[in-house]
Amino acid sequence: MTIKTVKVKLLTVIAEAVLRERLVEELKAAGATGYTVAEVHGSGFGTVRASEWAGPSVRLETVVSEETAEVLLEALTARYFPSWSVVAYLQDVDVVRPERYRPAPSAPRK
Amino acid sequence: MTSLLLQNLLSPMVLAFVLGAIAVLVKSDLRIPDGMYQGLSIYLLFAIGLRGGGELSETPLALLWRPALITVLLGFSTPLWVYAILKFVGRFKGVDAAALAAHYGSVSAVTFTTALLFLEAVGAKAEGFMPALVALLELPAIFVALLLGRRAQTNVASTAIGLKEIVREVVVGKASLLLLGGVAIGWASGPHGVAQVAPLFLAPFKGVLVLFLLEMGMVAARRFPDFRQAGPFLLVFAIVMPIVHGALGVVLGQFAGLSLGGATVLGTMAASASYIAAPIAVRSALPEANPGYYITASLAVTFPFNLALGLPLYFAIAKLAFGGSP
Repeated sequence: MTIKTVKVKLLTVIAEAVLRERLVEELKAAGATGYTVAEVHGSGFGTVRASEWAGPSVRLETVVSEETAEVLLEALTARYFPSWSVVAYLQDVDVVRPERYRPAPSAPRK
Repeated sequence: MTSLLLQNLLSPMVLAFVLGAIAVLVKSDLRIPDGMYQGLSIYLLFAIGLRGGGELSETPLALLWRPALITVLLGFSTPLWVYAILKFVGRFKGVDAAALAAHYGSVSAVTFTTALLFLEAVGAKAEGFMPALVALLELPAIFVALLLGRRAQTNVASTAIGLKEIVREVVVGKASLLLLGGVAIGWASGPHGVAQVAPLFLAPFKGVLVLFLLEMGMVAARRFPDFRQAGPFLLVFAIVMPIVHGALGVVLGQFAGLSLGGATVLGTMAASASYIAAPIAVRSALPEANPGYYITASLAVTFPFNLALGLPLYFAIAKLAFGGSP
C-alpha cells in the first residue's frame, strides 16, 4: 500500500434504544469526534426485550484514539453493562487522517 | 350484557388483535415495519389529544375540576397499593413491584381509545375532556412508581437517577408530549381549528386504530412464551387488579359527576396498564426490574383482557352504579 495509514480504534456499541441519547453523551464526554448510529435488529437468546415503542436496538460506531476507547469501555463497564443489554467491542482500523479522530486540545476531557 | 360482550368481541378492533396474535402463533411472515409502528403510535396519541383538546375548549371549567382532581388522586394512590400488594403478598422484589406499579397506575392510550369507540358503538358518550385526564393519570402514577423503585434499586452506583431525570422521563417522554401537545393544540385552536384537520386526524382514526391493534396482537403474542417466567400470582394479578381498579374508577367517576360514559371511561383508564410511556420510563430509570414481569403482565394479559372482556364489564358496572340494569 502506497498511501500512509495509521492505526486507531473502532469502537462498536450495540445497545437498547432507550440508551441512545445517553450513550451519545458518553461519546462526546470521552472526546470522540463523531459517531454513526444505525437501528439494528437482533436478540440475545434468553434476554427479554423491554419495549417495542422505544424502537429497535441501536448500533453506535465511533473511530477514536486508543485512550478514548479505553475511557469509553470503562464508562460502559461501570455504568451500563450491569443494568442494560449492551454489547461493545473494539477493533483496530487503519485510517488516513488520524488527527480527525483525536479530540481538539481544547475539547473537554473527562 | 351478553349481547354487548358479543358485539365487542366481534368488533374490528378485537378481531384485528386476534388476527395479529394468530399471525405470530402460525409463524406467518407478516411483519409491521418499525417505522410504521412508531408512526401509527404517534398518529394515535396526537389524534386523541387533538380531539380531546378541541372538545375541552368548549367545556366549562366548572365541570372539569372534580374529575381532574379525582384522576390525579387515583394517579398518586394506585401505584402505592399495587406496590404494596406485589411486594408483601406476591413477594416480588421492590424494584419489580415498583415497575409493575408504574404500569398499573398509568394508562394504556389504546385501551382508552378503544373504550371511546366502544361507547360510541353502544350509543353512550363520554365527556370530551377525557383525553386530558389520561395525561393527569399517567404522569403522577409513573412518577410515584419510579420514586418507589429508585429506593428499591440495589446497584445504585451504576443506575442512580436523579429526581430531575425522573420528571424529565415522564413529562417530555414522547407519549406524554404528543398527548398533552395534542390537547394544547386542540384547545388553543378550538373546534374550528380541529375541524380543519379532521380529514386526517378524525375521519381515518378508527381504521388506523384497527391497523395498530393488528400490530398489538403480534407484539402481545410474541410475549406469550414469557408467561411461565411471570408465574401464576402475576397472571392472576393482571386480571384481578384491573377489575378492582375498573370498579373503583367507575364509582369515583360517578362521584366526581361524570356521565355514564365518562365513568365507564375513567374505570377503563384506571383498569388499563400502560405499555407505551411506562415501559420506556421504567427501562431507562429502573433497569434492574425484570421486563419479563411488567411487559408480560401489562401487554400479554391485561391489555387483551381489557380489550375483550374489560370494556363491557366496566360499562355494566357503570350501568349498575347509575341505577340501571347491567
